[in-house]
Amino acid sequence: MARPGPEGGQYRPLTDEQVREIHRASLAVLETTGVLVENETALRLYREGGALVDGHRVRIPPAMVQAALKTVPHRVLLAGRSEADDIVLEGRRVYAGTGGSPTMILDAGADTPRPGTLQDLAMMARLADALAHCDFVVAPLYPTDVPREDVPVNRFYTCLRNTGKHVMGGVDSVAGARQVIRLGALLAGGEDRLRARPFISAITSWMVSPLRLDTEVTDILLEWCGHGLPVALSSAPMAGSTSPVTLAGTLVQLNAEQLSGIVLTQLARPGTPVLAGYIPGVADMKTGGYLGGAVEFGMMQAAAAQLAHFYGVPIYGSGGMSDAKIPDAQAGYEKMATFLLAAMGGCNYIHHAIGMVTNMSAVSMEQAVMDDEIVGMAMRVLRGIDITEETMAQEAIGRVGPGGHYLMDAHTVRHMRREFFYPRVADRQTRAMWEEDGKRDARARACERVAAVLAAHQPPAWPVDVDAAIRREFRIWLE
Amino acid sequence: MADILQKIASKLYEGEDEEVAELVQQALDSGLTPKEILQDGLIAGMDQVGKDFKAGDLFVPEVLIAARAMHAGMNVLRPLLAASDSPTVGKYVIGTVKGDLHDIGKNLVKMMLEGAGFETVDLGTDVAPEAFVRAVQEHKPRIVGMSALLTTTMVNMKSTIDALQEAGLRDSVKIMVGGAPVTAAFAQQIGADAYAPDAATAVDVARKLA
Ligand code: B12
Repeated sequence: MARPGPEGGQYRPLTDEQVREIHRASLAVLETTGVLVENETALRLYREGGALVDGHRVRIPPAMVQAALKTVPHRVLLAGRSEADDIVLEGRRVYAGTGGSPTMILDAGADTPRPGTLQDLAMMARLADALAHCDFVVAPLYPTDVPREDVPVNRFYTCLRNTGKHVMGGVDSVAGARQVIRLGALLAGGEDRLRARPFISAITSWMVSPLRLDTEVTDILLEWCGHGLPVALSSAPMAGSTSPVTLAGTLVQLNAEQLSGIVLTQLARPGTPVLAGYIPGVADMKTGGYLGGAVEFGMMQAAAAQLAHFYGVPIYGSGGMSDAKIPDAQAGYEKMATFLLAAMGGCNYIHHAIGMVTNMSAVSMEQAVMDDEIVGMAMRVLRGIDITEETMAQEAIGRVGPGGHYLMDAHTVRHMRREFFYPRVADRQTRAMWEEDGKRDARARACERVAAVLAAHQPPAWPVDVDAAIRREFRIWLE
Repeated sequence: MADILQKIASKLYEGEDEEVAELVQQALDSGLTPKEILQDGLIAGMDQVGKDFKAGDLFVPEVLIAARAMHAGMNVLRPLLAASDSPTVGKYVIGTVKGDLHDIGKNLVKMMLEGAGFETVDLGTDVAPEAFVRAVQEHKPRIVGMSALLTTTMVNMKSTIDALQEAGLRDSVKIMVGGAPVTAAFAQQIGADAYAPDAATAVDVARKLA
């Protein structure tokens, strides 16, 4: 049985007709403006697939988009190492997890981050493994104490070793991609078995917005597609600097970028499982800086989910970021707003949701614990209000009668555990008890919970024999 | 007479590049010196832009569009300015270091510098130390600016400084570094002359260095 993945889609910023309008505008952009492709292999694939190639400019006719949408899978399994941790991306199901490749970590209670290490990554992955509402692990840190060429395999190794949940991440280079796939195959007992139950997948930031393919990352994308393993496309324009300032304009461009990527993956290997990676950022018009906590980010993420649903392609997106520098009140309200909007939009795979601070520039363990709670609350919203004869409780109302109370009624006892979301960090005590407890704020309580969770949690068993084989083949820096 | 200078300043503020160029030509025809036009027209306008930007009243796009108007005015003036009147003490060579493709911040810094009257040479992204060395030899800039957004490419700032040192060019230029992961402490550690956290500060710092 896979992880729950409740249904979103309650928040729909676009009408059906508006979705079609954006779709038509994106097709027109692809046909008239096109994309810039300097990668020779991609250029050849596009040309042979029927695109109009003029130098490095590739103009994609609507028919090519339609053809790609016929072969791209509508349902993608991202396996855990056991079936209990599988996630199935389809329809409006929503999953949340860690994210990003920050190189910095904020220590417990600190206000200045420091460079992160492989050991920090191990702890983050272990924490993510323990957190109830964390459905998957996008490698939450880019270690700074490992030689560059060893990073991809070490990142995946370190995550896999510390969590049984699905692991996704960037792989840096074609060599990195091959190593990571080999690592996965060793663990799975062959590449075929890995393909059947892919517990690893790659993120490729192949698009440099606006509308330009990164030559090197496109090679990585094509290599990964060649193995038939799931891949998340990622384009992350910033409204106002690398895409139009209007939310609608950013959606048109981002959608065109995603469609161009879906076309490329299906030309490379029809049927390749792809997640359309819509990451609609915002540029701060006052400084030019990147904004992750803007409320418009959440609105666009939900709209992007509507576009992905329209195409029937699973969507990889972002939610729960904040531009706050520490886990403070700003972090709380920005994270809830952006995550809830993305989740209620039905975004299938929401990364950056757990543990990020300063948009995507650093991670924090106590933030992760608080974010787990935000995700839990949002998932409760998605679960909705269950209406049945039993839940409408006419019988109990009659039994208790006017002037009574429900505290001891069997109906209460039957439902009380499941009906409400119970936070672990939020304080619900009386003021007197809170004062007696040391008047601690949410961050201080979260720090304590991190320690408790890590002390109690053991990740799933790690195969010793396979470990030896892995270490024979790769330079593994984790003890 | 002062009228036209004020008009240049206010048209520059509004980002009307063609009008600024025309007005600068008119001012020259009416007998004003290039130096007066530069100081009391273009730079006066750009200073106001800078002030209002810092106060949060102007946004980045408005600053960039004003900078473009400044540029248009400078194109008319530059051939006429004696070297000593020039607002720049030399050129500013800028690029994103090897292995790094992030250029949004670097472009912003470049455009702001141009707005402040600097003459820039943009080497683009993924610029190898040798390419910086060649650019310094060719353009003889006063300042070299390096941008890095990845912690993994920050080290290439140091390699570039070393390469300039080896080529015997280190002391002929001032070196500024920036980009999200870069800090003042890091700048000092690798032997750069200055660091700036954002484009507006970069202009102030560059003015002091030049
Ligand atoms: C946009 C973006 C991209 C775009 C870049 C598009 C472009 N044309 O530049 C794309 C998609 C291509 C991209 C790719 C990658 N990115 Co990127 N990207 C970003 C993002 C979201 C915003 C950066 C940005 O433009 N900010 C806005 C500008 C205006 O700000 P700025 O650059 O900091 O510049 C200001 C100051 O720093 C200063 N400044 C800048 N330069 C200079 C120079 C001088 C001389 C001075 C004085 C001042 C100065 O002034 C500027 C203006 O105020 C950041 C996240 C973030 N929060 O920063 C990640 C981020 C930088 N990327 C990251 C990563 C990991 C990558 C990839 C490796 C992802 C991958 N696995 O493929 C690739 C690397 C490609 C490469 N080889 O470079 C990480 C870096 C982690 C780290 N610290 O090492 C970040 C932090 C995101 C994350 N956590 O994952 N990225």
